[in-house]
Amino acid sequence: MTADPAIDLRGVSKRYLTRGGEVEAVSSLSLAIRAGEFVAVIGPSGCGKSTLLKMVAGIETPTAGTITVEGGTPDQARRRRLFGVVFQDPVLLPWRTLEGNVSLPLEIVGSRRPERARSARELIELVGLAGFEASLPAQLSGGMKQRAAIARALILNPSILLLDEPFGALDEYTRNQLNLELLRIWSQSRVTALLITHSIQEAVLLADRVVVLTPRPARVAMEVDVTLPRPRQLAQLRTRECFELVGRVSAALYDRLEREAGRERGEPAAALAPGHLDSR
Amino acid sequence: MTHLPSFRHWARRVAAVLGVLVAWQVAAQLADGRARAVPPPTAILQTLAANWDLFVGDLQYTLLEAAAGFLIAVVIAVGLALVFIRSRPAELGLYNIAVAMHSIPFIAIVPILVIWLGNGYSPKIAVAVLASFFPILVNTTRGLRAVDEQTTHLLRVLDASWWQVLTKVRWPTALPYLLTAFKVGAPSAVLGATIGEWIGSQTGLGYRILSAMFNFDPDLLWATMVVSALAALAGFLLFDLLERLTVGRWVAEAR
Repeated sequence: MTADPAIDLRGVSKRYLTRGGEVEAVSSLSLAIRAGEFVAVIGPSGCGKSTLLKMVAGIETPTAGTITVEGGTPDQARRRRLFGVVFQDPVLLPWRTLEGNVSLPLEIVGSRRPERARSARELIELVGLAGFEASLPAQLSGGMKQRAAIARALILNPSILLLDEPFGALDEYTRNQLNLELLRIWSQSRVTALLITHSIQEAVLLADRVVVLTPRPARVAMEVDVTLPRPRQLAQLRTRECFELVGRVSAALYDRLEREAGRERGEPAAALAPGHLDSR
Repeated sequence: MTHLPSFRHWARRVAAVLGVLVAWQVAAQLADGRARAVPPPTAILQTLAANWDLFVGDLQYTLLEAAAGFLIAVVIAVGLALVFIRSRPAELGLYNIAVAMHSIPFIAIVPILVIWLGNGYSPKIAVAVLASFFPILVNTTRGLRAVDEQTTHLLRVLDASWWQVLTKVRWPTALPYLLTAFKVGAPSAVLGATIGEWIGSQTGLGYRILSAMFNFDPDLLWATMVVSALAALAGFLLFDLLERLTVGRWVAEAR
């Protein structure tokens, strides 16, 4: 039996009214994500990929089109607390200890103190921060804070993990380290994951499928199935298969930019017309 | 982390104050009575010591009025700030009224308050409320709004209730703003109570200032001023200490 997609976007558009007039952030975008699938969305900065994530999370509503999350609206999914989110900033509350921050979602759903402490400790252990339970955020490094944010996102056992450039502010080494941790954690839980990123390498390393968006308004330019075997390792980044995948994603991502640059050099557009690109 | 200032840091501060006092003393002695309005520091100290009982009595009244006024101001201002963050229309309407009230010179409103509330504590407390209310309102409102966008989104995704957002995030976020407001508001309340005593009083620091002026007693006037300043300073230091003990730990290194 083919199950319904966990997240299904159909013809989704989002227009904003700004001082400069109406801005279209997302334009009739369709995308289906299977349960347990890890999808990375990549696109030029400011193309509306964060808007996409907020609409899936029920924080913003689309101007047109429908989004279905596990059979309901995003708002219903939010109220059922199906989501775990990690943003670019760790958004830890500076007056709470690591444990207090990680257990915040449990406080909000009203679970009891012993249970909160037990779950928080388990997750802190899972993200490799055991021993720092009583530390304040100011005492943790950037990578540790982001680990804490992951623990907090997982504590309610979400069925969908939304990651909005979660490691975008970290150095490359820490970033790859956390990517591996994320892979390990994800392979244990197999939640549906939607990752917004601007790193091609990160997208290819983590995801089952990479969705490349066009510059604003965001539309799906191309989808690339990542055929690298799991469990993934950093060494795979140096394989030819990986190079090819990165190349395909890169071609789709930089397509418009390259054509524009070509036009400026006076080259005939036809010579660069990418016949291999999926028009949707 | 709070660092204790070094000995040298303190020595410099004390030396600066002492330097000013010595220069003042020398200048006043050289003027030799020709500038009666500015007595030397030693004369002010003597007057202060001689009238100590008087000042203790005055302080009791003024501080009581200031404290009562300050507490009422805190309750009203914080309550109003909560209404503001809950309802935009209420804020638009009431904020202008608050600004207008804040713009009235206290000295102009004291006679009206005396006619309205009589000669007792009430008009003085009312002026203390007026003097300290506004900075607390403005800062509390700003503090309650100072929650950043990503935190707001996180709480939305967690489907936190208005009350949960308030108690778990907004209120702690506002606390540093609140304590800053208290540091400004507490001395203002002392000032307000003092001005409130200018009309229809038999005691208090404000009354002492007026009676010293009418009796042409600059030494007493200066001594009263010192006591008033110390009382206002005490209000500031109280909340400064509270700030260091509470929010200072995480605010300095937040983010």
